Amino acid sequence: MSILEIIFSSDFFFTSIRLMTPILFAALACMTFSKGGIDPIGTEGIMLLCALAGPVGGYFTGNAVGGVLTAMVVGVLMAFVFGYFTLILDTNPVLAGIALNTFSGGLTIFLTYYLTGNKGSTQSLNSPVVPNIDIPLIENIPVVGAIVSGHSILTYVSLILVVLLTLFFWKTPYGVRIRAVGENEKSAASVGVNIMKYKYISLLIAGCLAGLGGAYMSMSYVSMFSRDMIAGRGWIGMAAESMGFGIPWRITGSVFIFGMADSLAIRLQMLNLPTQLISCIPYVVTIIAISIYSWQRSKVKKKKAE
Amino acid sequence: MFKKKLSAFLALALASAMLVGCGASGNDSAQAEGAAETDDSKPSFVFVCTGQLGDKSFNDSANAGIEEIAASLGCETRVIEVGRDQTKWEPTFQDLAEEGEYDVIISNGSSSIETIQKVAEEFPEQKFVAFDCTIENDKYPNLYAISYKQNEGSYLAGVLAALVTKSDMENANADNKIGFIGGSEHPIITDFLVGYIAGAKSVDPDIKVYVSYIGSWDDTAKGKETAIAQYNQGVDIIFPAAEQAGLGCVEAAVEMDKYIIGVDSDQSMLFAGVDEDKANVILTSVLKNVGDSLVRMANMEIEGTVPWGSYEELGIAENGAGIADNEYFQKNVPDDIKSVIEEKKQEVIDGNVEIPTALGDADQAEVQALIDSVAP
Repeated sequence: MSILEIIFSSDFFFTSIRLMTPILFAALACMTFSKGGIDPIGTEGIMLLCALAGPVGGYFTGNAVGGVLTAMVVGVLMAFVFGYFTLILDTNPVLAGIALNTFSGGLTIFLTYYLTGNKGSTQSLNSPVVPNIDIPLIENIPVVGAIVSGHSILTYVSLILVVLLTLFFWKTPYGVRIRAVGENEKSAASVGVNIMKYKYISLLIAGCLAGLGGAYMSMSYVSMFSRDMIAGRGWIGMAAESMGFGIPWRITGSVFIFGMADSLAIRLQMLNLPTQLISCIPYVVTIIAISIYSWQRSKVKKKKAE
Repeated sequence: MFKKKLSAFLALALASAMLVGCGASGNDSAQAEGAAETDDSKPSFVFVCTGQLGDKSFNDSANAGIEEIAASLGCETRVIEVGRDQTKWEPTFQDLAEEGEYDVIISNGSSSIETIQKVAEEFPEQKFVAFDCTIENDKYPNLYAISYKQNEGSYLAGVLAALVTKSDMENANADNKIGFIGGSEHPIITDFLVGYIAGAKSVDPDIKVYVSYIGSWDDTAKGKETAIAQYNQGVDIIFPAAEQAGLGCVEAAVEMDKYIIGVDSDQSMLFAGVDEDKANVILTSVLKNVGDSLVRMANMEIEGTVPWGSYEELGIAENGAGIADNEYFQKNVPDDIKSVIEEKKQEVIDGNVEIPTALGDADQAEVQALIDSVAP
């Protein structure tokens, strides 16, 4: 088995898409936060709480939709709490974000223990999962079908959301106003835009997105919540957001690069290469990608200056 | 004004939530255990739990051992749940040693051995037992440490895996490939690995062992992904030693109709009655029998044979390590495989096989050579 065989297999791309989905949700949430001028630093913690809320909500309502909705509601609540502290009480967003992240790390363990008597995971809670679906017609196309079809419903939702959010932020008055608020509060206020209203709208959307990301982790990727299961995906989402300059299709591209790097690292271990070398692939790819992007950006800036 | 009130209320709510949290986790309530038939002439034991009961792993196993000591040996026992707050450990040990109410103080050495050593020096009259750690021999004459030979348990797991992959069991394929997944590279994990490889090679010298590391102990999703990648290469049974992240491997096994070997706690019994699909793919689990080792120690204390001042490594022969024999093992593993495992187990007990280890002064080059010898 050679490296090329590994990369040019439909399984490799299928896995990359599965790996990128939670990061894409995180990146879209970060993008929405940033568009409204809010620091996205609490995304990791919000996702973690939502990852617990999903299976718990699903268990009590008895169906997956209930679980996903619970996760989204918790996501919105946490986003509002973050917003309340940073916007109304004027807390330093970095501190509020760190507080939120450590808070959810502890609260999720406490709640897991309270609900299941087990501190590590909700494995004893037999919670519903979001099903995977085969797309008719496309699933029969060779190669493409094997890559594109058969993913979780939430994966398709994330890709549809990329299109919807692009339309929302660039084609609707609400979206454009959110961007205006985020880019320059004072000028937005000077033309009579209600800043707080639009900030809260962006918190609402971002909370929902983080909720979907959390629900994907614990209701689709695996079928239970386990301690610290987001494992940095919220942070990688933040990185992908800035790598993509806040533009949805570019963000999707950077997230896909992260997904491929992870997928490659997992597969290369089979080739009996040193693990230390392989585990750093995703990080090396990140550094290279960021370098290329910033090099491009500096070139664009130079052109503009001329 | 309203906002002020609201913020004060929120702050209060958060503060009280914190207190509630502390109350539940830092609970140092003492529980008297089975003091029904105690005998003053027998030694008494106190288990200081430096974590929480309910972890379905070491602490619960130790607690079961303490209950067993009280029930079957009739000794006075007590469990004190100190919690993870390290600042409380030393005063607790000191108080207990000062009172001198209990003959032996037991604790989980993997986290608290330094504190125990310090207090043991302060109170040379008090006996201490630390499990899951090693100590310098003869330095602390009132301290006895118990460590477990995980390589022996995983040796049997390797035997099982190699037999399963060759068998005509429902989910086994024609390839003689088995898998091992670690959380990250760590001497103890390598010790699991070399035992596993040795066991597998004892059945089939040409077996191929796929080895992967998740790079995290918590990332369940990545654990699942890593297991799927191995199963896609034709592996049909995986032994993941990766704590929480290993739960993801169990999910992968269910999804792809393959097998898994649990670790640390009897994982199929954790899923029993909750998720039968998961319980059924876990053929067995590699265990450290903390509880049994404490009962053994209590028996030795009654007889006066505890080797104070040194540590003992308990393996299969002493029932300190082994694999879980539960209803799922009985139901899902064919009888011919079970009998081979029983033979191998007897060989280990009789000392007829030398199981390699990656701990202590093991030759790392030899360890690597063993891993390379089964690389696909």
